[in-house]
Amino acid sequence: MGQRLAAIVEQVRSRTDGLPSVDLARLNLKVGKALSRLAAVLEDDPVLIAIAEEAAREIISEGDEP
Amino acid sequence: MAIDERKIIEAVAGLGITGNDEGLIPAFGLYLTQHLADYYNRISFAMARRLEKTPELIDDGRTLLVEAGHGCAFNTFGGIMKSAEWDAVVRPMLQTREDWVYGMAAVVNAFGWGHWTVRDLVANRRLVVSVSDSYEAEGWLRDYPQSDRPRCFLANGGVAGLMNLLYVGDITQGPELNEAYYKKLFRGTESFTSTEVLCRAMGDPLCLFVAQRLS
Repeated sequence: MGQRLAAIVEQVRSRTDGLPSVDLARLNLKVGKALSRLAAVLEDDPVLIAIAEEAAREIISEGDEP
Repeated sequence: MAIDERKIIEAVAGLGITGNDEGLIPAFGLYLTQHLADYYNRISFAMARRLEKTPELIDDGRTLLVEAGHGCAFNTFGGIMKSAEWDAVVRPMLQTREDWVYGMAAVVNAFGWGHWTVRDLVANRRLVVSVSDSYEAEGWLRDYPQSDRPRCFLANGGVAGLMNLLYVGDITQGPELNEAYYKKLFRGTESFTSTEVLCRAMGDPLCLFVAQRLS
């Protein structure tokens, strides 16, 4: 359950240039669910995955800005 | 401990610090802002209250509001402790690294951001600060019912930030306050975090913060 969601959470958590607790809080707010704490028990719902991927992309890409 | 808080408050009051036409206060090497005291409260409390409609996100909202306090401490406290005004008014009183904490608390009190009292400071380990007349807690009590959780997000981040500036980084050496330095101070395993254990917004007699390392 929630394997893809858990992978997205891990992707954000392990961002080398980030602040993990802050980045995960932002991910949760952008998604509207406590994804960082619930990913393992949530279903891999395609809509939720799409929202989470977009949010994760936004957070991770900030580290790439000049 | 050689800090004379009254002398610092008198000196800061004598600097003639006022806002310019743009509402900015150029002082202590940075730009403070002059605006309504409740401006920040209204925004942060609205965010917190909105998130409290989704209980699973309450902690995330708090994390981000306290993070704003970390950023404020880093830039504002850090900037103040690198400034010419600090060197002129406070630095002559500083004998130990711990004095920097007391000196910064005195400057906070000079600006009127509540009244900070250092209750306990164990070098490189723990800081306990009480705040009376916290504009966050008092603002909450005026506008909302008694809270079931602490509401001084910015002060909470500020207390942790002060320890990180002094014991994770070394603000006494005047480092450049850039993003890399921020991450060194706030994301490492050695970083301090603060907990607001008492809050006027919850009906406590004052607000009390304890900063210590997570690990």
